[in-house]
Amino acid sequence: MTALGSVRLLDGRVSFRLHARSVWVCGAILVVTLGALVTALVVGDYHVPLGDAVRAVFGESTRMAELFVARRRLPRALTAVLVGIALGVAGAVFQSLTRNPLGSPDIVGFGQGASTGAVVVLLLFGGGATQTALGAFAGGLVSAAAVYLLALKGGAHGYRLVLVGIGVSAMLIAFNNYLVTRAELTDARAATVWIVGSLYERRWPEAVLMAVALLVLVPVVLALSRALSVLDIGDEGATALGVRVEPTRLVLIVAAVGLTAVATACAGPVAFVALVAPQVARRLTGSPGPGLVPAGLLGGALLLISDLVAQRLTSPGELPVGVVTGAVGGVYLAWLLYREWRSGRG
Amino acid sequence: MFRTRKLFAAVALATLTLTACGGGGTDTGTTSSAAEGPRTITDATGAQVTLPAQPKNVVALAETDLDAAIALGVTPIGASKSRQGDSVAGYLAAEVPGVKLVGEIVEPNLEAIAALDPKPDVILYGHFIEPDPAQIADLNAIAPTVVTSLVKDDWKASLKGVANALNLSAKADEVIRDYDRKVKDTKDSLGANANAEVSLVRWNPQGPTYLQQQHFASTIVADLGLKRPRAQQTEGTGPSDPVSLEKLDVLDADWLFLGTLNADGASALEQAEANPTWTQLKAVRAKHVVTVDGVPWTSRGGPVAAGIVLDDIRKALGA
Repeated sequence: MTALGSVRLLDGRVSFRLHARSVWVCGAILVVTLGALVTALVVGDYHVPLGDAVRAVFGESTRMAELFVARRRLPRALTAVLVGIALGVAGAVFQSLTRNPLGSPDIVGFGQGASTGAVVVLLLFGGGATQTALGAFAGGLVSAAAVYLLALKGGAHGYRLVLVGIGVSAMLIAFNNYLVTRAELTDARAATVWIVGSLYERRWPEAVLMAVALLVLVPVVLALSRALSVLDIGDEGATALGVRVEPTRLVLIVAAVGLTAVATACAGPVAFVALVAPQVARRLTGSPGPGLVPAGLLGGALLLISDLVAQRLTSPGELPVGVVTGAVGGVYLAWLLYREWRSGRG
Repeated sequence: MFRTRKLFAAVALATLTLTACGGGGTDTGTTSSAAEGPRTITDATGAQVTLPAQPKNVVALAETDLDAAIALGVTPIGASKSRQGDSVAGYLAAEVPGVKLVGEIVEPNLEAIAALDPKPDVILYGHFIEPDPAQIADLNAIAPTVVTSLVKDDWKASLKGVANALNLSAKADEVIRDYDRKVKDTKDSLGANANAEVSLVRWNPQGPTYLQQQHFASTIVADLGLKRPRAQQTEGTGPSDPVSLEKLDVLDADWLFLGTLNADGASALEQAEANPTWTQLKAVRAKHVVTVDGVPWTSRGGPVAAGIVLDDIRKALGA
């Protein structure tokens, strides 16, 4: 392996190793993300000249440029990137903990649980945007607790959590669809966003909420990054290497559920980003570990580009971004299952 | 001062353009009120909105408002897509041939609205859309935005809200009087069917629903003094929950008005027609099933839609 060497900070209290190809890949993803970000600021149904757009980001510009670029396109694009990062990181944590690509929060029902919370608040209690987001957060935590407790016997990991999670997820999807079918059209359209995931009218409040969540939760996850890779070798081995298995796992789960829940509160249960980003990141970097940073960055790029497509494809209307990620991720999931099936046979 | 002059210039220009076009019914009104300058109105949320005396370039985000604006003799330049797909509601499309689509039914696209040419001078934000303060603030940066009615309001409230924004309240009263007159004429034409029981059904791809008591078409049927089957007398402004194909008797009455919104609904209906529970309904046996355009009948309605509903009822039940 081409390790670039280790970096030590704060008198060696914080240290991490850099993997040359990972650094290179992360840099490339960042460049792509920046390109997509600039595209998101400049392209839209209302034409804002490039110069005006740039001035709107960095200060004063024309009224329309400030409205569309600074108040709408920029926060929406940032929300997309930040939600994508949260989903990518959460996906990497769960896939690593369960040692299974299907262990992603979008597959095992945490995202669906968050939308159930949102839909219940929206339809049964007629809550506004803030209450709906809080409902999503609560729903995510409750469904994760339920899955965790149901799968707890003998340690919550591996196939057990995946299978219990897929079951819970199916029930939650059915429940959400039931609620939406019963609702009148107005609410049903709004609720559809909570079933598919959308970034329509997502602006500074969502971008700021997502940024705060990342600032709080990502350092926690990164600090446990090494313990997470050690857990990969099995509980006994990890204990032998001095990792306190259950507390570490619990903190990681809570942090990753928190990331998923806030992401869902901001954009709905956007499908497959949490599943695909860590997998593709791992293949790009060729690194064996959980690869939290590349997974997060790739998630951000993936969601931002998907949202650009979602906005342009049926303009002047727009598709929910979850439809686009679903289409991309569905193909990937099919390929993944096919590969697993072949390797299972071979 | 400069802004006032600019606004005045815009109004004057609008008036000139209108006069140049000639013809249209609203011309005289425009000319006389343009001198009044901008005016401030209170919208359905209680917000104060300042807008040109006679807005000319109108954007209607809700179908109800589009219907109302057309009934008031105004041709909006922008409107949302309907549930039928990439157009405004079919029954209104011929009235607004040059209309630009500016978003999905409950998801206005602000950039598309701002990109309209000519620039809109009022945005009607009504029914279907729960008022979103942040979105309304942004819309107001594009053009004065009037919340014409709230989701719970009926088509008459929406008409009044639209008329308030377009400074055409007298015309709205006239539209309502026309409706009342048409109701009376239709009622007089019913003859033996004056006390008939009518069932109002929308066939969705998931199956049939009936229209509840406060739904648009139900209120028109009530205005005509027609009765509804007991099973359909439930409270609500929307369609009911889907009715099971095993309980189709809920849909039965002397007459059954049946609308679908799109091809999927129509094919679901075709399958149901082979169902014995359907063929045993007394309305079906008496050949009293009237197929109607589901869009004006089963959406939130408006004066134009009300006219279509009354015409359809008269054609079917009139003596």
